[in-house]
Amino acid sequence: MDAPSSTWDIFCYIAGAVSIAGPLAIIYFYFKTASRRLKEFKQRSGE
Amino acid sequence: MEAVVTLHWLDYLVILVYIGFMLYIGFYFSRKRKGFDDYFMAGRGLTAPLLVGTLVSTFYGLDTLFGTSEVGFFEGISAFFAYSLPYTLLYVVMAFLAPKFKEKFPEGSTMQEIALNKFGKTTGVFTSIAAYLYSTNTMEMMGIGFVLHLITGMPFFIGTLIGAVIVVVYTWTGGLWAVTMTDFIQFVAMMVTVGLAMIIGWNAVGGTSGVWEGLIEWTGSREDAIYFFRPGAGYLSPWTLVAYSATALAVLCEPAFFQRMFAAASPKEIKRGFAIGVPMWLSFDWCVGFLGILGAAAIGLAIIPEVEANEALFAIVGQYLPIGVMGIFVAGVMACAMSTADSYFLVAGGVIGVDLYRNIIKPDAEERKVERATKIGMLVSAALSIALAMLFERIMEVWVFQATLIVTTALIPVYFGAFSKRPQKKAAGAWAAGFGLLASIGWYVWSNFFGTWSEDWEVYVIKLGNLELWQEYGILIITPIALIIYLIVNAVAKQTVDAK
Repeated sequence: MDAPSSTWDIFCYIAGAVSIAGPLAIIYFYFKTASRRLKEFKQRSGE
Repeated sequence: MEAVVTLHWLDYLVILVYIGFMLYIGFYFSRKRKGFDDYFMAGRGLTAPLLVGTLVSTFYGLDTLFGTSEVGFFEGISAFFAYSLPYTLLYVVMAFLAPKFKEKFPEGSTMQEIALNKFGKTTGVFTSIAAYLYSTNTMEMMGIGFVLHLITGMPFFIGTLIGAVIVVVYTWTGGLWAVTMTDFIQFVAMMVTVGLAMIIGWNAVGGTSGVWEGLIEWTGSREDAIYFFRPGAGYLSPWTLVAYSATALAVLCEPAFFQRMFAAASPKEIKRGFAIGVPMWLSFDWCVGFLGILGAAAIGLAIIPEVEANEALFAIVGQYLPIGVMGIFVAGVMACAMSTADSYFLVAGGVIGVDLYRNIIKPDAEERKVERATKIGMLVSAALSIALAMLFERIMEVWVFQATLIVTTALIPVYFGAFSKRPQKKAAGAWAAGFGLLASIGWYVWSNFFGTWSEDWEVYVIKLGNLELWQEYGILIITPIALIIYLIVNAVAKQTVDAK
């Protein structure tokens, strides 16, 4: 019975890397959107 | 009771800061928002980054984290290839369908409204009941109780209660704005910590070769260990795997997805949200499935003690993550549960406030009364979730029941209603939805009370002569029958509904 190939390692590390890098990559856009919304809320509160 | 994982005070601090921050966001938005549309639909202004966070974290709760890792623990890579991949396929399908729903129903608020407008009140009520039961947070409440029990040793029901109070408080106060803002933070926490655990844990046991050695020790032979690396192999029957895959159809009639589609700023933002979300879902699925395999191997290598399948993930992560990061992982696990629970509490509240009170009982109701009904619906859902958490034993069991309920009841009327070019018959939606709802509940009641409990497979089995039907097969049996009923009634009935 052959041992499984080490290709699985590559996929596991890729999946781990995407899980870490993916959300971090869009954090900037999140803060940009969030700050715009907060500004709108503040403007509305000041009305 | 003893804790399975021991935390440092720094880890506890991270968890407390995280919980405090979630509550702060809820209170912040409660002061800023204006009107029910702001509360329930976030002013219909969600853009792609917010949608990614809320879509991914809402649909992936503890059922995925513990459920998929549990399947990986027993079934190996089937957890990903047979169970998770069908979901990915349907996310891709949804990426194309979701913008169309937004274009067709720009003023829509819930999925159930489509059934109501296209088939009338009876269908609207049936789909609303299914959506309400689907949106109970049984799994998430079980999960939070389970996590708090693992890290503190506190009784399961106390942990469940604490989790419910935290989530209800910030959802109650802040509405969808608070939910989407917290969902993003929760999305980052759960994704990053699972990714870290994958890389650190897999590397620490020596990669595939180390895992292979561990699996040989754990299963007792190379012949059994190799099954972990063959899709479709393992202890579950092929039909059970098909039934698990069929639960992916819930993606197409997921009430929380619909709420977010309608709350999006435009169809383009929805498409972008799904396009970015699909690789995230895919990588998360891979990680949790393989962490389950890693858990089994780690027991074989005596790295962790002989724990239950759903405790293995925690035990393996606790072994390798450093102080502080472990706290982030626990917060990430709680985030997984809370991001799902807050969304479904809001959806459940919407079923009562929007679908039943505003759309059926009192169409001219004032906004504040609709909001109050929504909040009452949320509270009842929380109580129901805690009660059900005490009844079910397995997380996967709850998920298959809820997916069966929503797929058999809502899928057919919502899609025929939304995409048929010719007007559909009122009775067709009502009969199909009514049959789906009653047959699903009946199937589970019947199998629980009159079925035989199989110790070997840990499932209820209904025996019809030589035929043995597992409780999980309900979704495969009821859905096609509901479709046939729909087509027959639609062909013979006469009355159509004037769509609003």
